[in-house]
Amino acid sequence: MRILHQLGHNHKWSLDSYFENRVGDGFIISAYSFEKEKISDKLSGYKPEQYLPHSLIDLQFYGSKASNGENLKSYPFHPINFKKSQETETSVIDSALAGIEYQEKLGLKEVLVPNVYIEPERGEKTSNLISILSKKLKKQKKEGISYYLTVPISGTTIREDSEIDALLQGLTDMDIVFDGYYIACEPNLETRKKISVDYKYYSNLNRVLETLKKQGFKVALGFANVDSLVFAALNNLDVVSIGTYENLRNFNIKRFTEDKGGGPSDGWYYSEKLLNFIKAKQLEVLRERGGLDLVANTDNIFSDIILKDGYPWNTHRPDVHKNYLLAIARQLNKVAGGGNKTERIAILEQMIEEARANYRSLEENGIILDDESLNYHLPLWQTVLKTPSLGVTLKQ
Amino acid sequence: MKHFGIKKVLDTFSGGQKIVYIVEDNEGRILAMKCFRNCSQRDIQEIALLEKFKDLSGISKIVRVEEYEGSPVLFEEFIEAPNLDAVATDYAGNAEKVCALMIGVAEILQPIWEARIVHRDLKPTNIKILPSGAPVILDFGIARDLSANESITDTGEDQPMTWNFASPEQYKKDKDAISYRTDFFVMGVIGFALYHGTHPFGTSKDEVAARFNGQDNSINSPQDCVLNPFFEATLAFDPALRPRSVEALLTTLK
Repeated sequence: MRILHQLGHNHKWSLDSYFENRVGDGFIISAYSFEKEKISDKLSGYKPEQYLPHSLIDLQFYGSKASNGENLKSYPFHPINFKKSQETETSVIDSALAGIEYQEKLGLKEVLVPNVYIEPERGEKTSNLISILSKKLKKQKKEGISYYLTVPISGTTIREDSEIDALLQGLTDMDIVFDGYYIACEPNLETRKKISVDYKYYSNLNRVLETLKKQGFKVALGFANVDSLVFAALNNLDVVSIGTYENLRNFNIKRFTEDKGGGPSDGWYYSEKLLNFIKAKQLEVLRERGGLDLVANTDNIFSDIILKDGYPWNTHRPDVHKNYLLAIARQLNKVAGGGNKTERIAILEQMIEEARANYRSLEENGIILDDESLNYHLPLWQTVLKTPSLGVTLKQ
Repeated sequence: MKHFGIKKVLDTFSGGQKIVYIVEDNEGRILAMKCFRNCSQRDIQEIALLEKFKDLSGISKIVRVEEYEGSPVLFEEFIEAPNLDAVATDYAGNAEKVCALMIGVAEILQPIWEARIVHRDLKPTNIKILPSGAPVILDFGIARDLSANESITDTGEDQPMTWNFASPEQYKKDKDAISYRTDFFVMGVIGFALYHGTHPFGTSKDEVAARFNGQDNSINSPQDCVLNPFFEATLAFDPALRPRSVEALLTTLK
C-alpha cells in the first residue's frame, strides 16, 4: 500500500515530510490549490522531476459545485469555466478527456479520470456518465498507464444502500476499462467530533472498497482521515492519503475552500496511543497530572518538539502537522503491512485495545479529556472490524 | 393450419402467453409453431431478439414469421431432444458434466449478454440437451434488452420470474438491478441443483425469499467440491460481487 500526501494549504510541510523525513510515498496534487502553471514548476523548492513521478493529480471537477475556485479556472478544460447553460453531459465528458490528456502529457503513469459530484438530495441520479467515460477511454487508453476514475460520494449517498448498490453495479460492469478507482467520501462528521461515528458511512464505504478490490480493481482512498486505519485493516488498499489540515482529511463539498484549520486555532496533537487528536490546551492538564507518557508518540522528533513545556502552540506550525503525518503513516504501514486480512485486523484490534486502556489510565489519573478528544469512536471501530466479508461463504 | 401449409399437428403445449403446436409441414419438417394470445410488446421483443440472433448456434432458430388475423405466428425449428429437467439425474455428483454444461450455456449466451440482453428465465425446462451433451437455450419470452430506453415492467411491479430459478434482484422487483449477472446467478442455481440435487437457498418460494432478504449468503457445499469457485462467484446476492464478464465467469469453471 502506498501513502500519498494530499497536498493543499501549506503544502511545503507535506513535501518536506516526504523528502526530508521519508514519510509517505508521494503526493496527490489538487487543482483547487495549484494553478495549472505551478504544476510544471517548482513547488516549495522541489523540482517537477522530483515530485511529479510520485504524484497523482486530482483535477477536482467536483470542485465546481461549491467553490470560488480561482485555481480551477486556470485549467481551461475545467467545467468551472462553463456557463450554467453550457454544462451538458457531453461537455463534461469532453472536459474529462482533456483532463486525461493533460495528465498524460505531463508524463504521469497513473491518471485520475475526473468526475462530477452527484447530489441525490437535489434529485440528481447516478448517471450513465461512468459508462460513457469508460467507452471513450477505451478508444484512447495508452499502454503503461493506469487510469483511476474519481468517485466522489456524498454523505447522503453513502447512507443509502440502494444508491450504493447502483453505484457498484455501474463501477463493476463488464464494459468498464478503468484500472481502478480514486474514492473521496463525505464522512458525515458530527459536531465536536473529528472522526466519523456514522456506522452507515463505515459499512457502505467498506462495501465499496471491498467489492472493488474483489473485482480486481486498484483502489485509492483520498481525503482519508484516521479512520483509514479501519479501511486499511479490512481491505488490501493500494493507496491511502494523509493530509495536514482538516479539509485534506475530510472530504466535504461544502468546505471546499482553503481552510486555515479545522478547530481551535491552537491546534491539535495527534496521539498514536489514543488514536485521536487532543486539543492543545488539554496538554496542560496532561502535563500537570503526569499523563503525557500515556499519549506521547514514540520515536517522533516532531512530537518531542511540540510536547516540550512552553511550546508556542498554533495550528499553523509545521511540527504540529508533521507529528500527525509521521504518526499516522507509521500506523498505516503497520496495519497494511500486517499480512492477510485476519492479521491486519488483529493488529488494529490490538492498537485499539491499547488505546482504550490508555483512556482508562488517563481517567484513573484524574484526566478527563473532552469533546473531540474523547473516546467516542473506538467501540464503533471495533464493531466495524467484525464486519463479515462480503459474498458467499461455504458451510459443510 | 391449412393457411400455413401444416400437414399435421403432433403435439400442443398451452402456456400463459402463447400456445405452441409441434407440427409437420408439407415439406416434412418438424417445427414449433407459436401462436401468441393477445400479442404483447414482450412477444414482439422475443421475435425481434430471435431474428437478431438467428445465426447464433445454441438457441432455437426462427424458420419464418407469419401473420394471422393481425397477430404474429412464429415458426421455430423443433429440437427433438429432452429438456435438462428430464435428464437432471445424469448430472448429480458429476462435476465434469455440470461444468461442461455451464460452459456451453455461457458460450451460447455470451454474444447476447454482450449485446445487453438478459434472458431472465433460464431454467431446466428451457434448456434442451442434444445427444452430444450440448445445450440449446429456448424461450426468450421474458428476455430484456437493457439498451432499450424503456422496460415493459416498472420497478416495484412483479418482475416475471420462476421462483426457484430467480435471483435476489428479481425477488426484490428491482428492475434497475437486472443485468447479465442476473442470468449468472441463475446459472449458479441450476449448476448447484444439478450437482447437489437441491436448491442452494431453500425448498419453497417463501424460504428462498427469506434467505434473499437476510444477510446469510452461505451455501452448503463440501470444501473439496471442484465447482465451489463457480458457486461462490455466481451465487452472491449482490450482483456487483458476481463475475464482471463472461470471461471471468468461464474462469471459475476451468
